[in-house]
Amino acid sequence: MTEARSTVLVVEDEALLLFAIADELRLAGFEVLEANTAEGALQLLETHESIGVLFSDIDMPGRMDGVKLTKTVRARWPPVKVVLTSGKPIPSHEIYPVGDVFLPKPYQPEIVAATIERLL
Amino acid sequence: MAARIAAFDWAATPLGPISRWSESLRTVVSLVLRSEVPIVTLMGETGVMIYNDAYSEFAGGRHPGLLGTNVREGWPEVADFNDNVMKVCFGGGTLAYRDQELTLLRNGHPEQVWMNLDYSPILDERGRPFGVIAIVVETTKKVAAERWRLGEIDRQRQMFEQAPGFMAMLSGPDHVFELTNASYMQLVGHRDIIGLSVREAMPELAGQGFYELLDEVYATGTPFIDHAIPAQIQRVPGAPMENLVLDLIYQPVRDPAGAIVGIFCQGMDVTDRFRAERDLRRSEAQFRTFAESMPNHVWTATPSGLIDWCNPRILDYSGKRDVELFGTSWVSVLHPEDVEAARIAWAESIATGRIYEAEFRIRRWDGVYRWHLARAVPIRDADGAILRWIGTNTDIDDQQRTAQALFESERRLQLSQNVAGIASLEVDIESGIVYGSDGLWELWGLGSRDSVHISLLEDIVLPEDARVRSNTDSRNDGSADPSVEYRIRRPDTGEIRWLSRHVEFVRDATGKPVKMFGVMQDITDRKAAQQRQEMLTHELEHRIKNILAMVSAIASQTLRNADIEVARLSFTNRLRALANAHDLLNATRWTDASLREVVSKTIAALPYERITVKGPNLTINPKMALTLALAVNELGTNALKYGALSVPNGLVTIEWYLTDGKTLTWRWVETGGPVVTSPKRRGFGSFLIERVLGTDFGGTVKTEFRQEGVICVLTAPFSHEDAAPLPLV
Repeated sequence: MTEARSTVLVVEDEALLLFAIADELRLAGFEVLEANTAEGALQLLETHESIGVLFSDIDMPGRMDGVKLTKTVRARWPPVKVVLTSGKPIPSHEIYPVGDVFLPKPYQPEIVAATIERLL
Repeated sequence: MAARIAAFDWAATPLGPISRWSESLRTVVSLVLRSEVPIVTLMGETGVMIYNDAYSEFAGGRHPGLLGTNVREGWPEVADFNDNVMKVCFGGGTLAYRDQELTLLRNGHPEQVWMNLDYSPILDERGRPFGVIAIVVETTKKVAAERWRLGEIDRQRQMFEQAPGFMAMLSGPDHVFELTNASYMQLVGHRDIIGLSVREAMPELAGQGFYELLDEVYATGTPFIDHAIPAQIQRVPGAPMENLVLDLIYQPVRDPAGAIVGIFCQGMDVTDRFRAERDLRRSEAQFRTFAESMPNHVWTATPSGLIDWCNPRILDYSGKRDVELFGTSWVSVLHPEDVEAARIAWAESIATGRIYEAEFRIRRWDGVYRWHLARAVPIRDADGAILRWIGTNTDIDDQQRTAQALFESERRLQLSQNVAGIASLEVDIESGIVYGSDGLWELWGLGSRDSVHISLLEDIVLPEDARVRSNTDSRNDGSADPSVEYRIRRPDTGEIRWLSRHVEFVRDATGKPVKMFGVMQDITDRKAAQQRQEMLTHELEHRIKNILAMVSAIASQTLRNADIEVARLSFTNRLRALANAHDLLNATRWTDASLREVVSKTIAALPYERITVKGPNLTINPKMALTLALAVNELGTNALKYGALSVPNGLVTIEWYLTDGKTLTWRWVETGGPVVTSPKRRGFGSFLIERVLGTDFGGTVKTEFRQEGVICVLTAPFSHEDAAPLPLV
């Protein structure tokens, strides 16, 4: 874990889930930022160089979903690791090599935390 | 006539007045007048005519002008004849004519007459001729009768001579040829037989019985008549004997006294007719033998259309005797519905001589009707006249039923294809020609036609689906996928449609594909439904996963640092609130929910009679509905435990309103409860209300723990679009 990129950015349009996993990750010791839209996430990335992992839902309303967000992150912030999640079964070829890890919903907060820990 | 003679002025004639007539003249006239025979006297050298009544009738229109006239002037047309008479008789001679032919003008027109004429001189006392007495008897009628008789004989001779039958007159016991006609001469080869006996003239007849027959007729007087007698005749000496067949009559001829004097022989050479009849009988017999052995029904009919023969197959089939079918009775075994058409067709063939053809049902012996094809052809003689009809009936019942079944099956197939929207197709692989049912062209958006080249269809398939459809190679080697689905752009509407097609290959003896048969169906609607179904399944799956994620999050939050029994109750309540919201959303298929219903349904688990709900009817999206339900549950549970609802007189008011139509204010207000103090610990309730509720409504939430009661206020921008359904993410 490098000091520079040790923050986790959680992106989830469902507020209950967003705050719940964010709280869990905080409890696990991570610095956590929250966004309930992809656009909000990009704003946070612009202003927080400490973000090392993006944990994002794929299915989000609006023009940008999790996959598009990931592609943008890949292009602009190559060091940022990406963990994606979705309630839908997503064929792996649509994720890789976009994301590094895919965690299907419902996820266990402990697994999420361990995965992020491994990536940082 | 006596009176006329007496009154006549004889003085003007050479005879002078009667008073001075000689006694001889008077005597002669007196005799003449008394005679019944026509008599005229020609007196004096000029032949002055004096005649009797009978002669006046003979004279016709010339009477009475002839009386007292000189014969030359009286009968100028025969003047020369009479001159001769006068001359001969005055010379003392007599003249007699029998059936003398003369042309007289008795009644103003020439008449051909025949007469017996007798002329004699009348002598005076001194023996000198002084006149001529003429006895005139007209024989015209007798002569005419005689002439007719002779003509008749001549005609009979000619008839005899020219008769088509042969005739000969044989006389005497030796049967000597007296007379033969041309046919007889033809029969015997123009031999010179007149005057010869039969035995001499025709020695080749020896041993054939003819001599003996003639002898017997001659002896007994009994005529002999027989038909079709075989005879061998040698027409030319040295030539082979000819076999003839004769119809023959030997008729005895008797003299006036009744004695037999000869035999009249007549007959016909019927060899040709006999042979023709024999040949016909033979061919008839052959036909019958053939027809009787045929498995088909065979029958014959007269030229007028009456059935006159049936082969045994017809009788076996119909169970009738032949006479029960003859004439027009055959219709009795036809199906009543078919009789009329069969009769009309038969009558038309009889009238025109054209081949008869008809289909009808014939009743079998057991009452079962079977379809038959009847055909009949006319048999004609050399002149083209119809001799008879020969007909057959062929049992086509099985074919008919098969054809009917095929027709119905095809119709059913067509119908089911139409109903199912299925079209059939056939591809000739060699030529690439596609034949199809009417529905095929409709599927492809092409005008009605019989066939099309497959390249036209290939061009209609979307390029991106070209790899799916068959192509020349895959058709030729039979490797084309038998069942495929692809999209086309219909040429008529430009619409994109999904087609499914299933084909099977028909191969030749070498295994090379020659045809593809198959069916095709427009599956656009099915595809769309399938896609919808897939989407719904995905959504449902997603929704369930999302719910599980929410439940999982709620569980994590609830169970954190909590007494397990308290946590269990809280968790159950939270899940019930979630379930209630789901019920509402399911009713609208997750499009939206009524804010009032979300509130009302959630507080149903609370002492709701102490809860006042008021606000306009607003709809909110599913995410808002779920969060609001959870928030009301948390507020209610909290009030029940610590707030207004924990005492009998506490009240809760839930109210909401729009400000300027775009800002929603939603308030939870508790009154009459125990004195409120701020909670020491912030659990799932405050997490949900303060963080989640505001976020999901896009606004802010403020909770005040005032002494008189808790107030929770949600302020959020509100537009009716918020009520629009959201994808469940």
